[in-house]
Amino acid sequence: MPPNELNSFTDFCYLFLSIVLEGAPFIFFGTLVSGIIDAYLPPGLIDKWLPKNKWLAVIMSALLGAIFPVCECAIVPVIRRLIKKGLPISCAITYMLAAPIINPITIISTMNAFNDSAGKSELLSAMTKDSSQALFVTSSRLLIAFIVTVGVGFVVMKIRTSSILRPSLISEKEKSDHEHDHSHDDAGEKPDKLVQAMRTALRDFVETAMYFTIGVAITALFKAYVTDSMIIAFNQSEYIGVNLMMILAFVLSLCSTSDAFIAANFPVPLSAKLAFLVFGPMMDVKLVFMYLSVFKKKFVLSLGIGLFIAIGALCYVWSDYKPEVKKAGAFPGAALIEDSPTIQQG
Amino acid sequence: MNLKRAMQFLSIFALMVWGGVFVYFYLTPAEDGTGPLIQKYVNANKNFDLWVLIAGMGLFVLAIFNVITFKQKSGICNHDHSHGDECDHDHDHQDHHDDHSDDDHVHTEACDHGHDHDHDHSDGHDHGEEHNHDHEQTTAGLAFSILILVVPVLVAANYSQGKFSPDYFRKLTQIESKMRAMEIEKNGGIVVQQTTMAEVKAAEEKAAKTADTPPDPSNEATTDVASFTMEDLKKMVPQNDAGSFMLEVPEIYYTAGDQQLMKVLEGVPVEFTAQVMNETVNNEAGNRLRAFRLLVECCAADARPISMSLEFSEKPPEFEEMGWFKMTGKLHYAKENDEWVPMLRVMEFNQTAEQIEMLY
Repeated sequence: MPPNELNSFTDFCYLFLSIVLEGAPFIFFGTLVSGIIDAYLPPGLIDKWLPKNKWLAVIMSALLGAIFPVCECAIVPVIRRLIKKGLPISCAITYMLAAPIINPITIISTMNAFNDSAGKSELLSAMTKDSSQALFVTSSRLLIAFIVTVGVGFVVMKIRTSSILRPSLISEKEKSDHEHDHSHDDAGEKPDKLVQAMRTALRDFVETAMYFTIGVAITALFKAYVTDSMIIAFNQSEYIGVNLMMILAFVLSLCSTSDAFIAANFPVPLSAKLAFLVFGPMMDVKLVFMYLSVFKKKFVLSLGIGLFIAIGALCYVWSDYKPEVKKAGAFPGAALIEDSPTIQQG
Repeated sequence: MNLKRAMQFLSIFALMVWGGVFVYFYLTPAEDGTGPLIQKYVNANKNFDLWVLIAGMGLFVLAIFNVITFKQKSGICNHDHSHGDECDHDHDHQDHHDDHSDDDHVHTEACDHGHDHDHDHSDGHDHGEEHNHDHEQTTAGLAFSILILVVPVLVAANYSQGKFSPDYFRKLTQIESKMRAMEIEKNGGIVVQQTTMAEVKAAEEKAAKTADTPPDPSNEATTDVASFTMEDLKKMVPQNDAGSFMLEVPEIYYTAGDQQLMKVLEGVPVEFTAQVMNETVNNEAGNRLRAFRLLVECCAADARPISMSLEFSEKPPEFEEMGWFKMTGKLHYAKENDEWVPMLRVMEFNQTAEQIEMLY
C-alpha cells in the first residue's frame, strides 16, 4: 500500500473512483438490458409499437423516459442496441437525449433541490411549505428539454444515416430494416438466446465502460488539478453565466439525478442554472466518449454545438418569463430562484 | 486458443476486476471505523452503496456465465460487414448467398442476419470461427479497451485514500468564499444588515402584549398557531448533557429563511463539530471565523461545503486552518443583503480528533 499521504493525485484517485462507483452500476444494468434486447427483441417489433407518423414517433420518443426511466450512463448501450434492432435514428436520439431529464427520478430530485427543504434533515423537511419555485424550475427544465430533443429528432430525420452512425451500426441497422432472413443450418446446434444476451452484455459493457472510464478520468483530472479561477467569470453577466454554466456542466459530467443540487447553489441567474440542467445530461465529457461508440465524430461534434446554441438561447429567453417570486426571506427557496443571491453570507 | 478467444477471456477478466473492486469496497471497513469503505465514496442514504454491491456481484455472475458458456454457440450474428472507416470495398446487396460457401463463417440457425454484403473474404480479413467479429472492434482496439478498463480502476483503488487532501478542501472553500464575495460586490461591496431575528421576536412579543392576549405558555417561541414549537424541536433534535441542541452546520444553514424555525431557534444553545477556516468576507471587526461541513448528494465528487459564521465576543483564538473543532454557542439569525443568515455566537471552542469529513 502507498503511504497515507494526501495530495492532488490521491484526490484524483478518490474523485475518479467515486464517480466510477456511482455510475458503473447503471452502465452494468444498461448493458444487461442491451443484451436482452439483442437476444429477445425481434427486429421489426419496434416499428409496430411506434406511431406510423414519423413526426409523432419522435414526439413520443421524447416522452418515453417517463415510462422507461434510464439515466445517461445506462442509455448509451441501450440505444446502440435499439438502433441495431431497427429503431429509427431520429427517435433513438430523441429518446437518448430526453430520457435522462424527462423521467420521474430526475423530476423528483430537481423538485427537491430547488425546494426550500433542499438538503434539510428530516426535522427540517417536515417544515416544507412552498414548492412553487421548485415547480417552475422543474417544469422549465422538462419543457426546454422536450423542445430541444424533439427539435434534434426532427433535424436528424433529414440527415442521412450514414453520416450519423458508425459504419458497424449502419450495416446492423440495414440488416434489421430489410428483415430479409436467411438461415444457415450448417451448425446444427440450436443457439441459446440467454448465451447470446450475456455475451452481448459482456461486449457492450467492455466497450461502454471503456469510454465512460476515459470521460470520468478527464472530469476527475479537472476537479483535482484545475483551479477555481473560472468561477470568477460566472457572475459577470447573464449571457456569460449561461455559457459558462453549460461548459461547467460539460466538464463536471454529473449524473442527471444529482446535478440539480449543484446548480441550485451556484450564484448565477436562473437562466444559467437551467442551461446547466438541460445541457449537462445531454452532453458532457463522459457522454462524448460514450456517444463515440455509436455515432460518428463529426455528428457528435455537430450535436454538441447545436445543443449548446439551442439550449443557451432557449434558457436565456425562458427566464424572462419566470413568475414573480416572494421577496427573499419569506423562505429560502426564494433565494434559489431569484436572479442574484443564492449563497448566504455571514 | 486463438487471439479472439484470448481477448474474450480478457474481457471476462476485466469484468471480474471491476466486480472485484466493487465488492471489495462494499465489504471492507474504512480505516476510521465509520463503516464500510464504500460509504466514503457514494451516498449510502440513497442506497448507492447497495447498487455498487449488486452491480459488483452481477458483474461476477456475468463473467462466470460467459466462462461456463465459453464454447457454446450463442447465435450472435453481429458481425459487422461494414469494415470501419478504412475499409472501402463494396458492400453490395446482390448475390450475397453465393459468397457464403467459401468463407469460414459458422452460421447458426438463429442467424437471420441480412448479409447485405458482397464482400470478398480473400482481401486479408481472417474471420474466426465464432464469427461474431466486429471489424471496428479490432483485437488491438479490444486490448486497448481492456487496458483502459483494468488499469485506471486498479490504480485508483490502490492510491485513493477515501478522503480529500487539505488542499482540495481549501480549494472548495475558496470557491465558496469567492462566490459570497461576488454577491457582496453586487451590492457595491457593502453588507446591508436590515434586521435580526431577535428584533422580530421582540416586536412580535410586544405586539402580542398590547393586544392583551397572554402568550401560550407551551409555545413561548412563536405566536403562530399549529406551527413549529420548542416542544417539537426537543422531540426531534437530541440535546447534550448541558441542554445544547446537536445540529449539524448544513441543518442550521437550511433553517435560515424559514420564519417559524428561526423564531424557535433564535438564541437557542447548539453544539456541533465542524471544520473551521478564516472568515475572509464581511469581517471588518475581525471577530469572525467560518465553520463548514462537506455535503454529498450522490458521490464524493459532488461534495460541496456548507458553511456558517462563527462570531466571537473578541478576537478569535489561534486555530489550525481546516482543523476540526467542537463548539457550542447560541444561534442567531440576521437578515443581511436581503437574506437570512445563521451565525453561532461562540461560547466554547475546542479542537477535536473527531473527523467525519462528509455528511449525506
